[in-house]
Amino acid sequence: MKAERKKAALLPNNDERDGPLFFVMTIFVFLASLSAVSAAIAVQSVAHWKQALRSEMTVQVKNGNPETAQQAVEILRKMPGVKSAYAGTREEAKQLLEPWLGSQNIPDDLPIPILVYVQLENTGYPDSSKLADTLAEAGLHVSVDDHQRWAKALSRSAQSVQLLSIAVLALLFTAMIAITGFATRAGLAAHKDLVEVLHLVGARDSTIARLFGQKFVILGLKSGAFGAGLAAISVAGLMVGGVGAASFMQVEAQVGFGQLWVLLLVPLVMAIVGGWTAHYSVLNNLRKHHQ
Amino acid sequence: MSPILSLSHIGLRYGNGPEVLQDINLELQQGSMQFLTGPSGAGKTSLLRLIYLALRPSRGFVQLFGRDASLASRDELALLRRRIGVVFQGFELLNHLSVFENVALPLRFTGKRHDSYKRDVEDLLSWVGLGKMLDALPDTLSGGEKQRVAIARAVVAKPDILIADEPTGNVDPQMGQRLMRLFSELNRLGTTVLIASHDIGLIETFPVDVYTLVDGRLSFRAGKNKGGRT
Repeated sequence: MKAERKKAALLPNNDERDGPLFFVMTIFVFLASLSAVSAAIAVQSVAHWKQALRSEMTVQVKNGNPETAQQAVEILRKMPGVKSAYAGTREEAKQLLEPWLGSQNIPDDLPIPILVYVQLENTGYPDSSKLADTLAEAGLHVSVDDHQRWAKALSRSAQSVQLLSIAVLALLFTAMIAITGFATRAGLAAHKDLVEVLHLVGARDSTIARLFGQKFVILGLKSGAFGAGLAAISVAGLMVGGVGAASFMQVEAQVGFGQLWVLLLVPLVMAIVGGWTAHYSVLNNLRKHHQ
Repeated sequence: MSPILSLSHIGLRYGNGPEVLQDINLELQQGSMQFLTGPSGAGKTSLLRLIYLALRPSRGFVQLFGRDASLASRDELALLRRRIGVVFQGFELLNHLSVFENVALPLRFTGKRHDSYKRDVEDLLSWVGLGKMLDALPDTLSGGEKQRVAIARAVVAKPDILIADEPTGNVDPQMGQRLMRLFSELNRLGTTVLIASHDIGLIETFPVDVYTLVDGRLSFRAGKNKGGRT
């Protein structure tokens, strides 16, 4: 039985420029994917850490008296909104000082503040001033730390990583648009005769532009799949393999895996931007240079 | 009756060069058939390119189907070109497409479904003797076969005007006669036909108007039917 005749592609599929272009676009998608995943992991990790910081507070018993610490714990446990509270030991407090004073240089009679760890049922409630007031009314000489200083520092860090990633992504997209425009113009020049024939048999500019646009969308999707695949392997390797440079990723490995959806988005956006760029490059070129 | 094509005081120059066409006036009536002849380098192909809207004139007006081509938008030009079938002297076949796809090309841009024209294209290719070469690539064809593909592509969409630049130059006399009968048949069905040819013997066998182009200037000799005037 005779095979069904299908519509053939009007642009040749075996263009010799496609190989190098595929390679370059794969690298772009790889770098863009890494950048986007890094930003997503950073933002998500910081949000996770801030959530943890907001749901706990630390009460510092300055005289280092375990009885005072225990009194504070009992008062705190009765407060609405407090999930749990427990006092650390003097040994734990000494361990916190060891990085600065050394393990042998802390005299037994040195008054070391004892820390009381407070877990809240809802983040940020009750607030630190309410906790401090209640403990002060009971005559306890303590200070309350709600970790806001660290939360703000984390927010600033996350914003920096976000901005940096957005800048890198913008740079990569701009470069890709420039390369796609250049490649499209080269393709048009190489297929000048073909474009003229299409014109003369009645093709509109938009039809010819669509052919080039589609070609670049397909090229973008193919190179995107490779680039994003390489990026996924790299990110997974860093998170699972425990490479030192990726320690920040390892901290929230679960969060990191959750952000791999970005790897689907980057090639898709790259393909759409590539197709759009090719389409409008062709339209502009035809209007400028063709009858 | 208003002409289907009208050229008024047309001049054409490439860049800053001399005028290759000078003060050309030409009118083609709907349903007429005529030849364009003249020595090599006289400007026949340039004149045909003006008519099928591949070039804009340096001066003068081209009116097609009652529309001033110089005022037409690019989309309108595409629609006007769909009403003109062209057999190019160099064939201009797309080498990555099969014979079938080359011939079906004009139909793809009309919005018709592939299924609706598949049979028509196959029948037309059978008629020009290429029924067994539907899937062949142009590079594998002889000059005469390529010419027949080019002719099939020009007529497949049943154009209002058929322009052929040396359509029988690469085929044997028998096939030449057969193709000319195709052109005559299309003309009988209402298609306006303009054929550029060197072949005086061929021209003399048809009692139609003849335009002669010499050194960029056009002259007219009426045939037995009065299809066109200069």
